[in-house]
Amino acid sequence: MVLLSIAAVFGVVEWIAADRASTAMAAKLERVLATQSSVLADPLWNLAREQIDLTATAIMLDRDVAELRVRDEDDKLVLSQSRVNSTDGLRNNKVEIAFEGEAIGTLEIFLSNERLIAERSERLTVAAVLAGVLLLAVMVAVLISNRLVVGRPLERLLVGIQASETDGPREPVDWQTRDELGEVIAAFNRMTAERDEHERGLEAARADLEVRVQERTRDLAKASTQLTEAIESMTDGFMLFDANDQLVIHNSTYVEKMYPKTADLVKIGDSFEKIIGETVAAGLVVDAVGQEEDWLKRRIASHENPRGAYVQKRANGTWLRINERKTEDGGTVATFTDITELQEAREEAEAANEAKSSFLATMSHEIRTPLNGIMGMSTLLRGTELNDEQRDFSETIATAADTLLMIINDILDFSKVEAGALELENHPVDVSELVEQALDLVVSKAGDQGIELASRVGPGVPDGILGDPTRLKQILMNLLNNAVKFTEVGEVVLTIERTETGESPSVGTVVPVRFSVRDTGIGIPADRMNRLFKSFSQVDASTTRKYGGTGLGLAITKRLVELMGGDIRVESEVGRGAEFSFEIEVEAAPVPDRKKREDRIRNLKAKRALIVDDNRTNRLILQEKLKEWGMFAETYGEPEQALTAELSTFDVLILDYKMPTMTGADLAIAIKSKTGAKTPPMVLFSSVGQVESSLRNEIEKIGFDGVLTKPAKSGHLLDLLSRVVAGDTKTETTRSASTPVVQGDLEIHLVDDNRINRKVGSKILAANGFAADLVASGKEAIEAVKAKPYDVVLMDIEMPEMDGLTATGLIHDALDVAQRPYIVALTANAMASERDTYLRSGMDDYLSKPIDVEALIRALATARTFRAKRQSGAAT
Amino acid sequence: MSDLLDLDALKRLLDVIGGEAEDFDELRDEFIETSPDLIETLQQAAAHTDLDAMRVASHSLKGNARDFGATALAELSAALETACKSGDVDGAIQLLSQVTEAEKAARHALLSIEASNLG
Repeated sequence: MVLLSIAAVFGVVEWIAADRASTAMAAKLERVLATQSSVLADPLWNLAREQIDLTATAIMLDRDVAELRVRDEDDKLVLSQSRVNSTDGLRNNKVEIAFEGEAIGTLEIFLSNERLIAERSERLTVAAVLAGVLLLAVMVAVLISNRLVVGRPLERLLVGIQASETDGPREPVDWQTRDELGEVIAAFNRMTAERDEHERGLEAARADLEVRVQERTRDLAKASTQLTEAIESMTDGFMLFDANDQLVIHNSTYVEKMYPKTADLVKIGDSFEKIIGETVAAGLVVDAVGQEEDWLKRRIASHENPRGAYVQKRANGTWLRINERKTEDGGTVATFTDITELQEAREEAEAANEAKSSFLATMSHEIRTPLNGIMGMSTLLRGTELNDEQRDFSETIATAADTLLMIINDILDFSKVEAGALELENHPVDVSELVEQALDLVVSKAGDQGIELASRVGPGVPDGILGDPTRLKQILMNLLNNAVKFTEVGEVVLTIERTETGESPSVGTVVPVRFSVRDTGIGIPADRMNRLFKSFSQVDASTTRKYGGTGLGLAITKRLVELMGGDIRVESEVGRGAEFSFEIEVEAAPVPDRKKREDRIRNLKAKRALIVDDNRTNRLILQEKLKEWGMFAETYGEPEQALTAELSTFDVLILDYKMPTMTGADLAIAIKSKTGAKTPPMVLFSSVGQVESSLRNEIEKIGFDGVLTKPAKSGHLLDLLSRVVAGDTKTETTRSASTPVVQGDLEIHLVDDNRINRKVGSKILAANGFAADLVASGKEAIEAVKAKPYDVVLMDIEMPEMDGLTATGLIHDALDVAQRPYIVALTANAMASERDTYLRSGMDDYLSKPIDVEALIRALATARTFRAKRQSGAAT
Repeated sequence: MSDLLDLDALKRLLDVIGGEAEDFDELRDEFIETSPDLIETLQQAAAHTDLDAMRVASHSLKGNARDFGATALAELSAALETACKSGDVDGAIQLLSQVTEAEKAARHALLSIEASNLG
């Protein structure tokens, strides 16, 4: 390319130079021709040859003139001079030679091209040299430019590429041209830049990540510290066990609370079993002492299967509430709260409550004692001769005293109910007796007001139910009292009925029973009904004024019904009356023997009693009671006076223990020494706690037949009096526990070597209306059952000489099937597995000691059935 | 009152015999009277290494102690009964001294119990 372009350039330059030289030659030719032709004109005209020659020679001096020809008018060659062999190719021209305007010949000149050629070759040489120089220059330039344009950038690029293989930020390749390399490098730079950018991004991300990891680590550490601090700052002890039941973490409160002096018992990583085992071994758990293995077993079970918090007493006197909870991963979290203060507070509160209750009880007792006096005296007063005004006054006193007593009872009851201190008893209650007694309390009032009083016990209602007779009576009495109080015309009806029809249920069955008291009184407005059962609230204030009462009756009734598991309801229509009702579940029970009580009272009829008591109220109350039973009572306030009476004519002497001049015991000794064998049975009456146990033996020695604690329940008094008064009062056989007393409908024989067991057994039986013959050994039992047919034998198993099993076998041998009693095993070894042994040995039933009354009653009921079968079997 | 006695057991006893204080007090006195006799029997039997007599007496003592809520005495008597059954003379002799102590403690505690302050 370079060569071609150089050649072309030189070609053009040469052509231009040659053209210019040619043109210059042509111009010279013309000039020479024009000049010389005029020079020649004269000689030619004169035919002066010499001159012509001279001129010609002169022309020829010009080195450029190669040949000249001068011709005449006839075109005849006159002169020719040449310095070349041939004129071929030479530039020529000819002009006319004119003389005076007449053509006389021609001059032709041929110009030499030597100078042209020489010039050309000179030019060519110069051109060649120039071209060579140029070429060289170009080549050098190319080499240099190559080096500059390609080499350097490539070198830099290479450095750049090599640099790119290393890490770290890269310098861009410094090469900013617009050529391809420039573009390549620019592209490379862009690439590098992008890569740098990318790497910077990565770096930043990594750095960011690192920062975040550090932050996280810091956060975690912080959270962990916070958690530890939180756990540490808990006032509760804290423990965490993992799924393998190993201790993961605990706080120092835990150690302080649980192990004040034995902190080394707790180590992270120890198992729960190890820790608790060592704790118990160290005697730190009060409850576990003496039963370590059992306790541990229970404790570990409760740890594995936590069920709510429980309280533990520690050896150092603290009380802990322990709460365990399973975590999601199967571990266990345990917290330990020190509730010693709470426990102490509770004990204090309980003590305070007890103090309050006892204050109330004492106060009510203190009020009731003088009140009894007022009531007794007003009754006596009415028996004396009085004028109308005095009678009215005394009756007012009696009514006021009655009301006051009622109010005191209500307040006491209410405070008990409110304090939750009222506990219901559970005794067999004779339903018809309950109804009678409740009605008795309002019958006179109803009679005064001229309203009908009726009761109905529906079919299927058990004759006897288990319940609290006093409270049931109180409920019914409250409702009846209310009904009578607010009824002026019409009737009040007490109804007890089954809510579902059915046969009278067997003993032990639970049935719902509805109690209701309906009246035809003034009724209760609907908007007042909700206030009805609130304390100290009657329908309105005017009602209170008109009808009286504390307004506590219904509140107490409601709470009592609730205690019995019922809910009292009222339905009423103003002016038409009201019905109060409640429904409770009752368990059918055997009816207590009423006949027994009536028999006892009959036995006491017309008997004479002597009462010695320094307290007049006590004398009057006792006298009243005895009068009620048909007895005659003579009272003495001074023991010395009593000694002057015809003592032997009395059926019973009732002596107070604590009297100012002489104790009851001393009086009894004096009586004995005076009347000797004719001394009637004596009963000692004493206050709570007066009769020290050490005195009891003395009292028995003196010959008292019974001791009564004041205040005596009338049932107790009746039992005691009928025992000592009825029958042959001169002997003491009724006091002997081994003497048969025929009661109830079953002949029962109790065999036990242990005297206390015999007594307890006979008392349980007596409390349930049964009497029993008692013997102390298997041998005696066999003799007894041979001598007299028994329905039931209650047989102790563990006896010396002959045990219960052997005795049972011998009874089986000695008696026919028809005569054999129902034999019930009694044993303190309460093992279910032994039951079979007893049954296999010929025993019919099994009771474990201490005797469960209900189980005993059930066993006796079965014995009754057994007897019935046996009798029918014997009859056929 | 006393930690030696389970008041619930005593209330139960009072309840099952019909709730009359006099009956209860009579039983209590019976216990106070007879349990020293049982201890006497036990000690004489122990002197003759008569394990069978000891077993019978400890059985009675156990039953009575249970009735009167004398938990510690009941447990020790039961242990003594077991020791007698298994022929463990040394164990029985050792337990007897504990039973004697427990009986004394229970008897003294019962002296202050009255039916009327159980209710």
